[in-house]
Formats: sequence, C-alpha cells, structure tokens
Amino acid sequence: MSGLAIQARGLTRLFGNKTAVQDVSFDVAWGQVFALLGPNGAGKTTTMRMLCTLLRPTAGTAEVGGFDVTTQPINVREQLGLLPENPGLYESLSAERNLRFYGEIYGVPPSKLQGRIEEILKTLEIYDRRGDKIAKFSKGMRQKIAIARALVHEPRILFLDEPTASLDPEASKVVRDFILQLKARGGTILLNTHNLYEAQRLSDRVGIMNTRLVAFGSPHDLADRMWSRSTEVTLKTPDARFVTAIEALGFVKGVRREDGRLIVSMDDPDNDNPRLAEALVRAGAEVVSMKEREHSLEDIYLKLIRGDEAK
Amino acid sequence: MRMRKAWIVARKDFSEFRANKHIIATLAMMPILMSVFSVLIAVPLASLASQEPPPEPDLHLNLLVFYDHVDLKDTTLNNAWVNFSTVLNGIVNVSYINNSTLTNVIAYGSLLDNVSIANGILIGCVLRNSQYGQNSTVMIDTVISGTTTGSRELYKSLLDLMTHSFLLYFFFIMAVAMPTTIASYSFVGEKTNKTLEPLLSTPLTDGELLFGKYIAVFVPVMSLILVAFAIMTALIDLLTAPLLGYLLIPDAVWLVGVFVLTPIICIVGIAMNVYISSKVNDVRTAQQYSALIVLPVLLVFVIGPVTGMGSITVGFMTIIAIAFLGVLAFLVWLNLRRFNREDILTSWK
Repeated sequence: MSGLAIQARGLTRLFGNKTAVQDVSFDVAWGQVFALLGPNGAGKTTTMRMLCTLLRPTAGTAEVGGFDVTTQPINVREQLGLLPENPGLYESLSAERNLRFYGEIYGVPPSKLQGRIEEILKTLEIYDRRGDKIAKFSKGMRQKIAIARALVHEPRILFLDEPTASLDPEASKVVRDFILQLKARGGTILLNTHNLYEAQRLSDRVGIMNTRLVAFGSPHDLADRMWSRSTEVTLKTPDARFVTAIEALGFVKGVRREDGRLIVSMDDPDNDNPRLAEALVRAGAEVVSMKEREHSLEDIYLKLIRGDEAK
Repeated sequence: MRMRKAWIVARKDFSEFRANKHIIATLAMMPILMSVFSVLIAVPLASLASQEPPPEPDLHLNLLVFYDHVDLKDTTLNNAWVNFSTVLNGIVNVSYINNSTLTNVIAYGSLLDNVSIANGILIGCVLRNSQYGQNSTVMIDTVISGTTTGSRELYKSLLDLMTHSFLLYFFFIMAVAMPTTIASYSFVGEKTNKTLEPLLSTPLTDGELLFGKYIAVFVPVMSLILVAFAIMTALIDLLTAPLLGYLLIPDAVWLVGVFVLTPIICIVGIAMNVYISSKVNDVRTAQQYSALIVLPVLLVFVIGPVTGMGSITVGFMTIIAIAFLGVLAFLVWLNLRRFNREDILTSWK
C-alpha cells in the first residue's frame, strides 16, 4: 500500500447559487482516523458524499485509494464502506439478509461471505438476532447493522457520517469502542461528527469545517498553533509578591491570575517548570500543584468557528 | 454491464416482496380474477354455440297468391308466395318468402328463406339462411337455421371474438397494469426508506441498478401472467372441449400474444414506471403517473379494431410488437441517459 488513502484538492460544491463546500484540501494517510468537524450545514456530509462519488465536485479534485472520484467512480466505490447519517436498512429483511445483499454486491466470494457475516455480527454482539427483521430492531442495533454493512466487504477506507448521532449514551459507547477497535487494527477512517468528545477520542487528525476548511491537523498541533504554551500553578495562599517573583524569571513571557490560579506563559514548560517551582518556593510560596495547561478540542473548535464566523 | 450484479439487486427486491404479503396478494389478484372471468365468459358462449337447432315445425302453408320480382308497399300478404321482391311496411301471414327483402314488416307463421329483414318482428316463423338486423325482434317460437346470422354461428363468432380479442386484451392490460404496483415503488421506495444512499455508494453501475429493478418486477409479473394463462387455458379447455369437440385455446394467436407481445408490453410498462420512480419523490405521485401509463397502451389496442385496421391476428401483433420494441429501446436509452444519481439523492423531500 502506498501513497495516501484520501487526497482532496480544492474541492468545491455549489447547489445552485449556494456554496456548500469551498476549496477544501486535505490528506488522510493509510491507517489514520481523520475527523471532519463543523456545525450543521458546514459541508461535512457534502464533502463525504463527493469523496464517496455520490456527488460530483463543482471544482477541485479528489483521490480515494489512489482513484479519481470523478473519472474512476466504480474503482473508488469498490474501496470504501459507507455508514450514512441514516442507517438506511431494508426493514422487511433480516439483519443477515441485509448484510448478504451488500456482501454479494461487493463481490465477496460466497465461500467467505457467511463466515464474514458471522464474524462481524459476533464482534458487534448481535449474532443472536441475525435472523430478525430490521423493523424489530432498536436504533442502536440498526446502527450496529449499518456499521456491519459498511464493513462486510472489508473496505480499505471507511466513511462514517455521524455514527453516534441520535443514539443513547450506551449505544454510542458501543459504537465508539468498535471504531477504536478498527483504529487499533489499522483501519483508515474518515469520520464526520459534531461530537467533539468523540472526535478527540477517536481521531488522529481533525479538519474543522465551516463551508471551507478552517483548520487541519492533530488536536495538539492545532492547540499549539493557536495558543502559546503555559503552566497552571495552584498555590496554597496566592499573593502578589509571588507573581512579581516569577515575572522576574527570564523564560517567563507573562503571568495572569485566573480563578485563584496563576497561568504562566512560556515556550518550553518541559524544561522550565522545575526552575519555576524552585523560584516560587524560594519566594516562600507553598505549591499545591503544577501542570501544563491543555486546550481541549472544544476550546480549539469554538475559537476557530467563532473566529471564522466573525470574519 | 454485469448481469450477475443486476440479478443480485433483483433477488434483494424479490426478498422484500416475499416479506410483504400485501404486495403478492395485490399482484396475484388480477390474474386470478382474470382466469375466473375468462371461464365465466367462454363456457356459456361455448354452450350456446354447441347447441343443435330444434327441428323445423311444419307450417302447413297453403299458398294462394304468387309475387315475383315486385316491390310491395303497405301490403298485407296472406298465403302468398313472394319471390325476388321487396316488401315495405307490411304484414306477412302464413306465407313463403324467398330471396327477398322485408322492411318494417311483421311476419307470422311464415317460412323465410334467404331473406334480409330490417325493423321486423318475427313470430312463429322459420328463418333459413337469412339475416335479421337493424332493430328486428325475433319472437318466441321462431326457428332459425342454416347460416343465418344470430344462430349458433353467431355464438361461435362471438366466442371467437371473446377468446381471440377480448380475453387477449386483458392479458395485455395485465402486462402493463400489474407492474405499476411495484415498479412505481422501485426507486421511490429506496428514497423514502433512506436505503438509496448506501445502495448508490456500492460499485453498481447505473445500468446494473436499472436492469436489476426491471428484472425484479418482470419476473414476478410475467410468472403470474403465465400461471394465469395456464389456469385459464386448462379451465376453458376442460369445460368447453366436450361441448365444442375441439380445444378453444391456445392457438397461434394466443401463443404469440402471451409469449411474445405480453412480455414486451410488460417490460415497456416497467421501463416507464421505473423512469417515473427515479424522477419523483413520493409513492403517491409515482402511482398517479403510473396509472396514466395504461392509457396509451389501451389506446393502441382499441384504435386497431375500432378503425377496422386490425383485429388481433398474428400479423397485427407482430406489427405492434415491433413498434413496442422501438418504444422499449427508447425508454431504456432514456432511463440510462437521464438516470442522475445526484438528482435522486439530493431531491429528497
């Protein structure tokens, strides 16, 4: 396997005069989980549909598994498994019949198909219900069958559009855990979500979309790009003289008080935190805790989206 | 195009039909009723056509007057022998009329041989090799024989018309009407059940998907039509052969009709329905349009006989079959050309 799993360059899609996706470019390497984040109407599903060859780009190009989405749609579709936002299962057919149909369409050899269906249903803990009609299934079970359908032919790339939307917390956890299993096995996944916790937990890299791609990278890299690094210090008795003492240190770029804690900005907390602690103790402070301040994906997302909307 | 893929799509649809008993029931209803209806028409007609005429009564004619090659008007004829003449506005009593024309005449106890009657009332007469039409009334006790229109031969020709035109029309109507139930649902159903997006994301080509949908409707509809044909043929022959002394159906007309023209009409109907189904967004709209599809097909078979251009013969059906094959080729081309995945996917209501 060589090259990139997904490569999008300037993808743009208009619906009439409305721009749904504008000039979106990103890469996804093999074995990576990439999450597209964004508010409703940000163009995440449209982007996924263009990559799955369900919609043609108005402009730009994309390759999935080394095949062009516009000129080689059948080759692209042979590589992928899609979990759409709505499970879209045949209600009057059994779970097994639904999976068999898709397995046959993808050309899974009959000798292998039955074993594959059994394996995947057992992994998702729904093997006992394989003969039941989908109409009798709960939302969570339908979602599991839809995931099984996307995987029955062992696709090289998996597209998951809001995989836990409208699921209860327990069903969401089952689905998330299963995605983590796929990730551990080296699966390449493109995930559309507006669940930030889910994206942070599951993905290696994220793309934040608001019609165009606002930011792209790992959550850590994005935080580094957006904020300088800082250390959060909790003292037993905060006092102004401690602030003065640490402001005098050469590596400290700034100090501010926030909820009774001191937030100390610096370039290299890994090296400088011991010297910071030493200076505080020398000044008579009693240090309760010290840790590098981390920014959640939510902080990143909100800052980027609000900043983008303010433009 | 990989026909195996189209067959997989069709098999999935068969599974859905099997799971829904109402679909099977509504599909099977028409051919079952058709079989019963055919038997109800054919058996009484065959019974009438097979009846031997009763013996002619002895009229005891005592002919006193003889008319030959004359035009009689406003006349009452008693015990007359009328030969090669016309009678207008008259009463004919106990007479023998031969090779003549009667108009506005009441005839009683007479023997009419090779006579043409218009606006006549015949009471207790014997009618041989004659024609009575144009508002004529044949009263009881009148005996009809020979090749007279209205006799056993009339029933035979009526039976022939029924079995070779009327009943065959029903098969053509079934072929175009039965697919509407399921073909109009083919893509609209996938849209409304939200199953279309995962289906379109598979490596199926447009042609494989469309032909899969064609096969899914064609196989059950034609199977039911052929079963109806077999049942109808068996019942009609079983009940009419002892009366007629021969098998009424099938013959060349029926074989060409059922095995050549009916499948072509069926697939034309399916192609129209599938096209509509891929263009509209809800089942009701699709079915409303589908109901209209029956009309042009009906029109073809009504125009022919009404204008006298063609009763149902092998030749007539061959012409229609060739015409429908042309229509089918156009519809397949249209379906493939206008099948737009994006429109289908993004125009959901």
